[in-house]
Amino acid sequence: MAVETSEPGFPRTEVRKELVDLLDSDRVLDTPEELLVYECDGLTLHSRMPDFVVFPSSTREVLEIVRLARRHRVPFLARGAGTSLSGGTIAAEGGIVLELSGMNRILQIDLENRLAQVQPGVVNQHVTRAVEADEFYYAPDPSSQVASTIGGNVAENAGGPHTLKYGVTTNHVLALEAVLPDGEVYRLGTAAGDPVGFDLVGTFVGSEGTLGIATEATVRLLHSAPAVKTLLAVYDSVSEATQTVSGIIARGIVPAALEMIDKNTIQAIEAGVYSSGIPQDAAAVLLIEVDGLEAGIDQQLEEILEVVRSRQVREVRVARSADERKKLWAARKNAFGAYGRISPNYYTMDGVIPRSKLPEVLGRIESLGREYGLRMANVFHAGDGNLHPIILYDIAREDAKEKVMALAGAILRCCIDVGGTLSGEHGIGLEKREFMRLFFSEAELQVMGRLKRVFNPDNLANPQKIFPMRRGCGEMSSLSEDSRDRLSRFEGDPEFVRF
Amino acid sequence: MKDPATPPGDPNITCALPASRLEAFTVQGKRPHRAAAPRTPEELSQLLQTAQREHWAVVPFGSGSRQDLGNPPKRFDLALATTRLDRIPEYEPQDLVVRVESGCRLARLQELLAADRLCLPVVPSAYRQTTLGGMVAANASGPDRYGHGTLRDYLLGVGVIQADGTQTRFGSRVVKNVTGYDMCKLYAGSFGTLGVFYDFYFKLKPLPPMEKTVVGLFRKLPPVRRALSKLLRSPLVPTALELLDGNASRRLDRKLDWSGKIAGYALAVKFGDLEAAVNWQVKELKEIWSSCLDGDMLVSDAREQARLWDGLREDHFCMAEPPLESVKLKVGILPDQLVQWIEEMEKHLSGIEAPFFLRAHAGSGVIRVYCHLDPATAQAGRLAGLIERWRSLLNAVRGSVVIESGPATLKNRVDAWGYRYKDLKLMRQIKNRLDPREILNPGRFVV
Repeated sequence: MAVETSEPGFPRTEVRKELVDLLDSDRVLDTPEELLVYECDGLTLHSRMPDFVVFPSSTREVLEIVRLARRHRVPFLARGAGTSLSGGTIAAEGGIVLELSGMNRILQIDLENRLAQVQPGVVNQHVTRAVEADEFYYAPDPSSQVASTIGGNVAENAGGPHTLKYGVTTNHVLALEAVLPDGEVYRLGTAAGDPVGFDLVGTFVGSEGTLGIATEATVRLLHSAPAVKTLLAVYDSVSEATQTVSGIIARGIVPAALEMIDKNTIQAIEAGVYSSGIPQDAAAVLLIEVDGLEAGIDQQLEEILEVVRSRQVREVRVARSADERKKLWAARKNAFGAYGRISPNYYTMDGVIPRSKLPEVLGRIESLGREYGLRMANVFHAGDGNLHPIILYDIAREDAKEKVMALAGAILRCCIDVGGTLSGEHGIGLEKREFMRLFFSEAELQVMGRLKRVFNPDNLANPQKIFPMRRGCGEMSSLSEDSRDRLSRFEGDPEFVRF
Repeated sequence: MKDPATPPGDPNITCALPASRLEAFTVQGKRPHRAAAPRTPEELSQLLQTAQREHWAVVPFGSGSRQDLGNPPKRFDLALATTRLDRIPEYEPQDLVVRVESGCRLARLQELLAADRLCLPVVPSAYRQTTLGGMVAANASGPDRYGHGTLRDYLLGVGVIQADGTQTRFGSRVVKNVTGYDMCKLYAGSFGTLGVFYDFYFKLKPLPPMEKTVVGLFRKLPPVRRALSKLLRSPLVPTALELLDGNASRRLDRKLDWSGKIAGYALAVKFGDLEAAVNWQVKELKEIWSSCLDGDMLVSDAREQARLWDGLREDHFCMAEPPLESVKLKVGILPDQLVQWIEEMEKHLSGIEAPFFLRAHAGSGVIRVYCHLDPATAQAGRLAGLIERWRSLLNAVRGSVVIESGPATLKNRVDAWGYRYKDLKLMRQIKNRLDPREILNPGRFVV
């Protein structure tokens, strides 16, 4: 849905002139043709054109742009590769988009201290590429890692398949340099021992650009695991697959990755040129990886196999070489590309549930899909309980968008009802802001709002993200009793303010 | 709730404790005017509403084992004991998640988890007494932090009563979550200055099937440096990596009745993993260290190993007997500067003419300095000067020197945190927004 467009609340001509003075005209885009690419990100259901896209090349320039924006009260936000799936990089109120992909230098690699200092436009995978010859790597591996940037990963607290064992972005960022909306550069956190004071790095990571713009990140590097074993298990029933996941976690084994691919996804993959040879009639596939030292790796694999074989499994394949491992992963990695073959459009969702609720929730999601008359697929981080239900639809059909949104809402409610949350790694952005009251009380939103105003008092940094705009009462009737209670507690709260 | 056997406490608050118990809540010489021990979040909320109205300064209080940290409270009207908030209301071993109230002792939680071969792998000093509330407030950690990190890495959700008494909850029982700001990170290590915790969700880990410890012994520092660098560049994955100077290793040796087994600089390395992985790492470590060691020792006996790590975790062996006064400092530096800093510190500290001990979480860039001051001398003043000097030397890398405990004679001279970086302004504003009347632990923390 297009976010409402209106005349900018700032002197456009003057702002343009100042931007051009600062950066030269070739680093300032402002014609509709040039701006079109920037009207949305990975979440194509929302769009809004910015007024300007600018290409700063240094912290100094970012700082000057933010100061200019502050002076003229222009909304602004940073953008890297634009792979956000929750509308994080959509200019919801127009204004300036700072395209940071040009700030892509790796400033320092320090293997003695196991860290890298990088600019925000550095592509995730390039960090690993810079240190892999020395057998080090950067652990967070979002599916977008060949394109997405560290700055974007920091803003969204990106995850990925291997975060099950190694943690998400926030566990790997030691320090940041950031330009905050007050028009000042700050250093947050430290690589020297424990940081003193409030954990501002932990607070900033995952704040979706609403607290400021990271202009530099100091990230932790890990020594790569000398041994990796990957296996694929094929199931005739979804519940046997999910029971296997629960069995592995309950056994106290922490695999490096534990991914699940469902039937519709398998069919989409196998119909294409990247076929992995998975039987098309399989109900579900688990992709399981263990890593560590050479010593003990076989035992890890054996323990996993023991759990796998204790359930009804049709077939188990263990990769015997790096090539075979790549092939097994190909099924997982090509999933998103494959949906295009079986559906004109698809919407990738993100929700988290306690992992022991997997069997129950997957069943509920399937029946919700039937109820709404939409096909669904699922490919997700089973070990974390981080679901990615995919809604397959055809935008040309009448009511398609409304139906998709209604189904998406029903799925999120289902996650919340079992003790889960709205997002595991994609963020709230524009996509889920109106669902925030399912999870947070008004008082809790107020506390986060107060935190936001410390950093972003004029609401110029990435406005409209995360926090709900409406009161959300229209949704009351479809809520569970519990969620309704949470909402009604704050009905008529006189202190209600814009966040 | 009133206990009929003892005189009642302040009649104006719920769950008041009798006046006779107030002494136990003394924080750095300051005694509270009243104390209360709520049993539920609602009672806690009510107490904070009263405190807000009356403008009482509140100190949340668990076992008190970490109350020496930071500056003394500016004011102290109400001690909020969490001792009765000690339930473990949700435990899902199959999910590796637990919800536990803030007053629950860590030791009790670990006993429950161990029955399922699980653990919360953060074990700081004062293990027997410490409560989870105090641990989160201090973002505590122990020797295992090299492999397992600090408590912030395990905190999935937090129930917190705001300064005005509002009951709130952030995060949840799921292991991955980006719904709204990551408030758990803000609260972990906030030293009770932003709200009072009533419960937490923690992520758990399986207990390692096997643990072994190698202690490498060195006469001089340069080989220690080489040994550390070799280990940190290797694929080995120790869970703990502790360095002791000669004074500390001698003390520890005596404490454990090991009659000289540990002497000189000692690097204690613990591996916890599958048996095959542990044994391979022990062998590999001895090999990569073969050129820099003066001697080594394998501590494989489980009992001996437990004594060693208990001893390392609890710093009692480094503390002084009265009339000497113990000072404990925590210094944050880049890990590769560790050895050089230890060398410098030894020189600087000898100028104070007081006994001192150094130990370090060697892979994490954290050095602890223990110094025993004679109150009859000018040693406190000299140490204060030294702290200031170290702080300015560490400016360039945003390092830190924190006084974790020490006598008033030292804390009166020099701030316990010494945090002067630009983002202090942001921290002050956060405090101001979330506790505008400054009733939570006023004056004690950075802000």
